[in-house]
Amino acid sequence: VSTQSTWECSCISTKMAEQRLQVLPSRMVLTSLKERYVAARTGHELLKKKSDAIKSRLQRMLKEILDVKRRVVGGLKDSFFSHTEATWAAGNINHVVIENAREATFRVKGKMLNVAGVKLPVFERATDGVPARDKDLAMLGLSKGGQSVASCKESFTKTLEDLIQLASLQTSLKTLDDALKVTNRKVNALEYVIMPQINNTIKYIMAELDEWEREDQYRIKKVKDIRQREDDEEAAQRRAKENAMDLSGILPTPSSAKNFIETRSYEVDALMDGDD
Amino acid sequence: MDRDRQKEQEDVKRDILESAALEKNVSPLGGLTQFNIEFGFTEAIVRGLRSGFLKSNEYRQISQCEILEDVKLTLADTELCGILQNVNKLTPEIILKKVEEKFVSEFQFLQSLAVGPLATFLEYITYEDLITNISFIITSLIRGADPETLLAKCLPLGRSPHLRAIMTFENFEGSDGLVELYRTVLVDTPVAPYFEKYFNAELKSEQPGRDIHRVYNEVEIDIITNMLQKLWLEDFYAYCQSLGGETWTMMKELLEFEADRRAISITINSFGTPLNDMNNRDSERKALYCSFGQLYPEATMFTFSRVGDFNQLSTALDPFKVYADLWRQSQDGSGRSITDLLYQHEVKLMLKAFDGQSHFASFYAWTKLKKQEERNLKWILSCINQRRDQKDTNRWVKIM
Repeated sequence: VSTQSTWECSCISTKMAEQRLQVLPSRMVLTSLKERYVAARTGHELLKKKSDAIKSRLQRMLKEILDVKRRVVGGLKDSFFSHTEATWAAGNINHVVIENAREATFRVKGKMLNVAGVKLPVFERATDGVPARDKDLAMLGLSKGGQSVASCKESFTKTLEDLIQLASLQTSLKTLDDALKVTNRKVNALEYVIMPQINNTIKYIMAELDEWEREDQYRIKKVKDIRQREDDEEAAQRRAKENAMDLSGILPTPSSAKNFIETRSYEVDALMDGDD
Repeated sequence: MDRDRQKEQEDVKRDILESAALEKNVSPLGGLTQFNIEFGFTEAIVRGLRSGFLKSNEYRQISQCEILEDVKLTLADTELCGILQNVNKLTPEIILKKVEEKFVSEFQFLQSLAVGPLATFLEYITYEDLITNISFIITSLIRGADPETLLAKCLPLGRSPHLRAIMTFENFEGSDGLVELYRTVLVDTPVAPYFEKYFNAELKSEQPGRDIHRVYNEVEIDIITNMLQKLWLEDFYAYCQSLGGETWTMMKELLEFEADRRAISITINSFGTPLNDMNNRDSERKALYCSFGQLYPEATMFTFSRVGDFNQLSTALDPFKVYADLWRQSQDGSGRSITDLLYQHEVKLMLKAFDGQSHFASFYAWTKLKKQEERNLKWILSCINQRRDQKDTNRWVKIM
C-alpha cells in the first residue's frame, strides 16, 4: 500500500513540487510561511510516529489472527465431529433443538477500543442479562445419548468463542488497515507535496525580496550617480561662470571674492605688502 | 379455501377411521403347530429380510471409501443397491433418507400383511416413535412453528394420520387449548391411554386446563416424552405377557434390557441437572424408571436414589453381572462409552432373538437391528464426509 502511494507521490513530486503557492512576496507572508513550515514538520513527525505505532499493532494482530484461524479450523472440525457423535448416541436431534430454541443463551456485545488514536470495534461475549442455562433443552437425550449432546453443546460453545474472537480481530484489522492507509497518505502528502511547496514558496519570496533589495540598491546608486553628475555639472558651470565674471572684474560676488582670496591669496598678500 | 380445509379434515378423519379398523384381539398364538396358519408368511418375510443386513466386510469396504461417490458404488453390491439410482446430489443426509425410506416401506409392507395379534404387536413397535412425534409437534406448535414443515421432521416409523389432525388443530393459546387438543384429537390416537395416565398423575387441582398448560410449560418436554415412553414400555411388556408362549419368553428378555438401558441412561444423563438433586431423585427421577427389568426393584427403586455420580452408579451396578461387566469395559479406557457398549449388547441380544421359531420377537429384533444399521451408516458417512481417519470411522457396531 505505502509503496504505491510513494510512487504516486514521487510522480506528483516531480510536478507539484515545482509549483509553489501563489502569494504576495512580502515579509509578513514570509514569517507566516516559516511558521507554517515548522507546523508541517511537527505534524509530519507526529504522523510518522502514529503510522509506526499502527504498523506494529497491525503486525501483532496479523500473528494473532493466524493463530485464531488455526484454532477455529481445528475447533470446527472437532465440533462437527462431536455433533456426529451426539447423533450416533441420541438419534437425530437437529429438529428438536431447532424447534425448541427460544432465547439465546450466547450473546455478543461490541465496544470501542482506542489504539494509537484509532477507534477499533471489538466483540466479546456478553455475560450479563443472559439466561444461565438453556432450560428448554437441558434434558435433551435423557433416555439415550444425553452426555454426547451436552459435550456437543460445549464443543460448539468453545468454537463459537473462538469465532467471535476471530470476527473481532478481522474487523479491527480492516479498520486499522484503513487508518494506516490514511495516515500514510497524510505523511507522504506532507513529505512530498506540502513541505516542498512551502519551501519553494519561502525560497521564492526570499529571492524576490533579495532582488528587490538589489534593485533598490542599484536604483539608489544610479540616482546617486545621476545626482553626482548633476552636481558636478552644476559646479563646473558655476566655475566657468565665475571665471568669466572674474575676468571682467565687475560685480565681485562674495563667492568670487572668496574664490579670489583663496585662489589668489599670494596676489592678495602681494597687494597687502605692496601697500607698505 | 374453506372447501379445501373441509376436504382435508375429511381425509384426516377417513385415515383415522381406517387405522382404527384393525383387529386388536389377544388370542393365544398357538405354538409350533398353529403359528404358521396366520403368521407364517410374515415371519418368513422377516427372516428373508434378516439376510439383507450389511455384513461386516461390506461395512469395512464402505468405511474405506474416500468420497461419497465411492460409497454409492460400494452400496451397489449390497442389499441397498437400488436406493441411490435417481439421486443427483450425494450428501450423508440424502443417502440416509433413502435408507430410512426403504426400511419404512418394508415395515409398512409387513404391517399390511399382518393380522390379529401380530398387527397389534407391530403397532406397539411404532408407538415409541409416535409418542416422540406427538410431543415434538405439540411443543413446536406451542412455540409457533410452521405446521407444514413439521411433518417432514417427524420420525417416519411413527407416522400416523393423527399427526395431521394435530396439525390442523389451531387453538393452542389459552388454558383450554391443550385440554381441547386432548379431547378432540389425542383421545383417538392409540397412545391416548398413556397421556391419560400421565396427566391424571400430574393433575392436582380441579382445573384440568390450566394444569395441563402448566405441565407443558414447566416440565421440560423431554421429561414428558420419557414418562410417556416409560408408560408405553410397561404397556408393551404387559401385552407380551398376555400373549404368552415363546413370544413372551423371548420378548421378556429383550424388553427388560430396554428398560434397564433406559434406567442407566437416564441416571447417567441426569448428573449435573436438577434431576439429580437429592429432593428430586425420589419424586421425579424414580418416576422415570420402568417397573420391570433386572434392575427393578432393588436398583431403580432403592439404590439409585443414592446415586449422584459415576462412582456411586458403578457401586450400584455391581450386583448385576452383565451391567457391571459393561460398566467396567467402558471405564478401562478403550475409548468406548457406556452408550456404545449398551448398543453392542443390544445387538447381541437381538441376534439371539432370531433363534427359535414361531414367535414375534424376530419382528422386534429386526426393527432394532435395522435402526442400528442406520446409525452405523450415518456414522460412517458423516466420518467420510468430514474426512476423519480410519480409527474414528471404526466405531460402528458389528451386526453380522
